[in-house]
Amino acid sequence: MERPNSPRRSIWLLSLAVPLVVAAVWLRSWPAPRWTAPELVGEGAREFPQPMQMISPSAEARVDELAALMPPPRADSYLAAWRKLPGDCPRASSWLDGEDGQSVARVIAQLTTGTDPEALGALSLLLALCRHLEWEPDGFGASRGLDAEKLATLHESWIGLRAELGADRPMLAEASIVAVLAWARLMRESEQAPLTFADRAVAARAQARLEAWFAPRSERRTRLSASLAARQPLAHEALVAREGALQVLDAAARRILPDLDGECGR
Amino acid sequence: MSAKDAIALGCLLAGLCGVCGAVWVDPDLAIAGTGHAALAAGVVVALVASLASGKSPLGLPQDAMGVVGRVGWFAAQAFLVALVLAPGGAWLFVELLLLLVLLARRAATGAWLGFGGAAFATLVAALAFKLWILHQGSEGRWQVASVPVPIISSLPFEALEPLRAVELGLFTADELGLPPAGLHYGFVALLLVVGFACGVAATALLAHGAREHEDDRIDALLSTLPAPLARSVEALVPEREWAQLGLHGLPERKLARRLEELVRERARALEQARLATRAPEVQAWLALDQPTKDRGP
Repeated sequence: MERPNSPRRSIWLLSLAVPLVVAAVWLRSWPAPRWTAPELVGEGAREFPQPMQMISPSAEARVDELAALMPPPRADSYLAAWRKLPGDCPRASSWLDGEDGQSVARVIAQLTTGTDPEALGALSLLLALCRHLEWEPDGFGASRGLDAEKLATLHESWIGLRAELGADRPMLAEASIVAVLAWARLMRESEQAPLTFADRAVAARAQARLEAWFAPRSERRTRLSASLAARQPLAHEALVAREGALQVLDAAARRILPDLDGECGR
Repeated sequence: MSAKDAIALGCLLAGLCGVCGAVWVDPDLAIAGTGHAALAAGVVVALVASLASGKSPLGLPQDAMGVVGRVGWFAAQAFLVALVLAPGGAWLFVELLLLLVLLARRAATGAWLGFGGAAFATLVAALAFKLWILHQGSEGRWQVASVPVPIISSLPFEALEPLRAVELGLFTADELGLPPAGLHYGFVALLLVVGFACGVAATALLAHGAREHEDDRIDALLSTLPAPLARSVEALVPEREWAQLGLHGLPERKLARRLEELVRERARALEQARLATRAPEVQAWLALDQPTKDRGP
């Protein structure tokens, strides 16, 4: 009936158990992490305040200020690109295939791979293109959605290269989400362009891009996904549920960017 | 493993169970507390169940380790119930009621794993339900189940979208108290399952440890007797019967008197049985061969 007695081991185990029990009660009141918009903190907010103005209709008023933050050759290209934007609202596909269009597209591609001010400059040009070109479906042929699709492709390059990196950068955080919304607006326009049925190919491509950018089925969220969840929770829920994400993003774009109507605001 | 080790290890596992059920993990692997409401519900269930189950076969604790064992057992029950309870919604109250009834019916710490089989099955079912609704929430589906409506669900008209399925048990993220960034379901499910295993193991260890500790107390009392006397007491009142005879939880003086009483009763009964076997009829019967015994008198 003799049993081994080990008071030291028991005391050692109990001395571990007590803090665990206390922690079990204390941890229950641990606050959930608060989300703070990156553009409100850090150096960037002081360096270039209100970066969202660069993607508003009045962006042209601050292009010199933004160009001052870019390396000189890129700054000149950026300012030149702004001067090349058309004033007569041509069809997007024909203008982008022209000399000025290709030149602006090249500048956008160069700026996209640069520093944060350059990337913001590239996005400001993309949004300006959406406002200066006509991309509303037109005509009766199969290419009714081509204009919107071409502009969407330019946005896709920017989002693919900068949105995830910029999601927690003060200058690009909110702009990245607006880029996605503008892209969704264009893709939805292209999807709905055919006169009879929606273009399923566009919908499938849009879904594939959303999966790549936001990884909604992954346990670990991308930075872009976390930023979207904080700024557009409904859109994030739709992404996770895979139910009409493009429609929800399009609806958000119509609310936030009402001047993106495909007709240069006419 | 000694009784003291079992109690100490049980307390440690109870603490681990509590920690596992105390936090949510969001997709960025940040933690957020689950709130005190579920723990309060667990404490109430453990308290009411303890009171309603009547006198424990272990009696009142008689020393520090006994008190530690009982407090640890109570904490393990509270943490375990808090861990399996649904985070919110009307079903939480149904689970509470069910667990209250089943845990109150348990045969105190003498039962299997420290509580009854039905209570264990309910705890498992409650955990499975919690895992299911958390999975639904982490996928952005805010209902327990969605049942497709026959025929309508197969028609290709977008206007019928709201009528395609009937959604059962709707809930919201706020109702469940989930963190704003959502849940890392895999991590949370792992925590809950590990916590549940720790809670069950803690309850079982603490119940076993408390019984062993009481046996050790009786054993320590017997060891104060001269060895031949102690051996005869152990032969007359074997260890396996100590709990049934109500020796657990008795203060030392009462324990000594009760043992003395039992030894006297059993010695008397043994003597009477010995005398009875000396009777000629019994001796004659014992001398018969087996086939004759089988045929009967």
